[in-house]
Amino acid sequence: MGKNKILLFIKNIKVVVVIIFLLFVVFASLVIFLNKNSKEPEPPFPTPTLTVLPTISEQITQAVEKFKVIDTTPNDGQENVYAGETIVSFKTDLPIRSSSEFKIEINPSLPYYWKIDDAYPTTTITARIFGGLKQNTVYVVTVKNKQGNFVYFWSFKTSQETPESSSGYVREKEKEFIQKYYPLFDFTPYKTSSFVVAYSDKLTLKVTINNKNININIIKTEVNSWIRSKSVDPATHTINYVYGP
Amino acid sequence: MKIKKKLSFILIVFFFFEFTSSSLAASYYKDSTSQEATAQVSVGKAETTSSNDLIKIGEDLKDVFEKCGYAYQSDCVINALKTKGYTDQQVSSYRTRIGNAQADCGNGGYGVPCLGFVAIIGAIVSGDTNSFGGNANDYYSKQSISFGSYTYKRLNPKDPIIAGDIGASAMGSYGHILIVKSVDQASDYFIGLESNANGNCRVTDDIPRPIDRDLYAFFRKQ
Repeated sequence: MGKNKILLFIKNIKVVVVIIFLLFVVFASLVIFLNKNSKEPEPPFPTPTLTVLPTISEQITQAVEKFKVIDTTPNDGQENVYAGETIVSFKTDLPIRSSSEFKIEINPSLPYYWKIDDAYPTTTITARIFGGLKQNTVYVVTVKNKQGNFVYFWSFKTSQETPESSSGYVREKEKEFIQKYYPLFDFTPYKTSSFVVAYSDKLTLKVTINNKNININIIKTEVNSWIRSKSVDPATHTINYVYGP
Repeated sequence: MKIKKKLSFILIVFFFFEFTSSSLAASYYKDSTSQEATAQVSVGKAETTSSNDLIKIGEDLKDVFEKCGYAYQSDCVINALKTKGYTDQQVSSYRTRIGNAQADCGNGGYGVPCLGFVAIIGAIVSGDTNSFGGNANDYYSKQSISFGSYTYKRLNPKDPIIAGDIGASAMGSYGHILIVKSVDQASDYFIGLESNANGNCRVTDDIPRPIDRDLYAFFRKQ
């Protein structure tokens, strides 16, 4: 009986061990399965862990700061350059992305001014001279980078010949003149079925009314309203109302 | 039950499209009515043209230059001028004057500034290839402008201007000169036929300006 009890005990232990083993196998399989499914895909390229690479924009910025001038207009040392409304330009080996990425200076100073074309990105920076250059004068043009560091300089000499005109500058001054004295010029003559508005002099409008039966106060209100709609104060203008065909 | 659901869905879709299409129609209707309401309102410069020797030659040159890519001394320009009926003498005058009229004027290459353009026209019309020296600024204060047998006298400030007059501005260091292409007396503005107004040595004929003697002095053919 004692022997039988021992055998039965051993048999029970074997069963428990087998059950524990089976449970372990199931648990281990489950763990392996879950682990395999949750594993992140490996990147196609190994990612650097120790080296910090600059971003693309940083690389471009570094490159632009190191741009070189590869060509100019007028050429370096050129003589007999037309002293009128010519252009001064330079080409770069790398694209310039905005006006803040370079500086261009000219000496001696211009009689009037220049305007730099503002189409970016570009590898050609063009400065248009308004009003012309001084005759028989050596000009030195200096290009600097964003930080104000020297990049390039060149010089040219203007001719003794008197330029024919300064049309670009004249046109700019005309626009200022028109804006000052004829601010509604782009919108006149303004015609409706009842009246026509047109300039007759500086800051003076003539309103020609087609129909004498129309109440003039209604016309005045309408004209003033139209002037205000163009962001102009009617009080800045003398307005003459006349009846006409 | 399912059929009922389907039917209500179709009805909803139908009414949705019906509503949106009628809204669109209404908006089109609004637009058309507003157009009708403003049909009698016009704004801006209407162009009026006039025949004149200087204007005709200037417009022909503009046409030829544009056709030939502003290659002023090319066979293209010469042949096009002949095709337009210009005589050998006139083409010869053009050839002689064009060389002196060209300057490096802002377009990255050689072109004809305003005074050069008027000088070429003057050379073709009169045969005088030595006129229009100096710069445009000089002409603003002149009492008359002469080339060949042509004389243009300065107009008084109150004299109305007409197409074919010459206008000169003294603004800026070297000024600007043009030919009056058209005039709207009622609205007190004119349109110029000119070169280099935009600083690129190209000929334009569409820039309106007020008739203001502080802007331009005008000269009339005698």
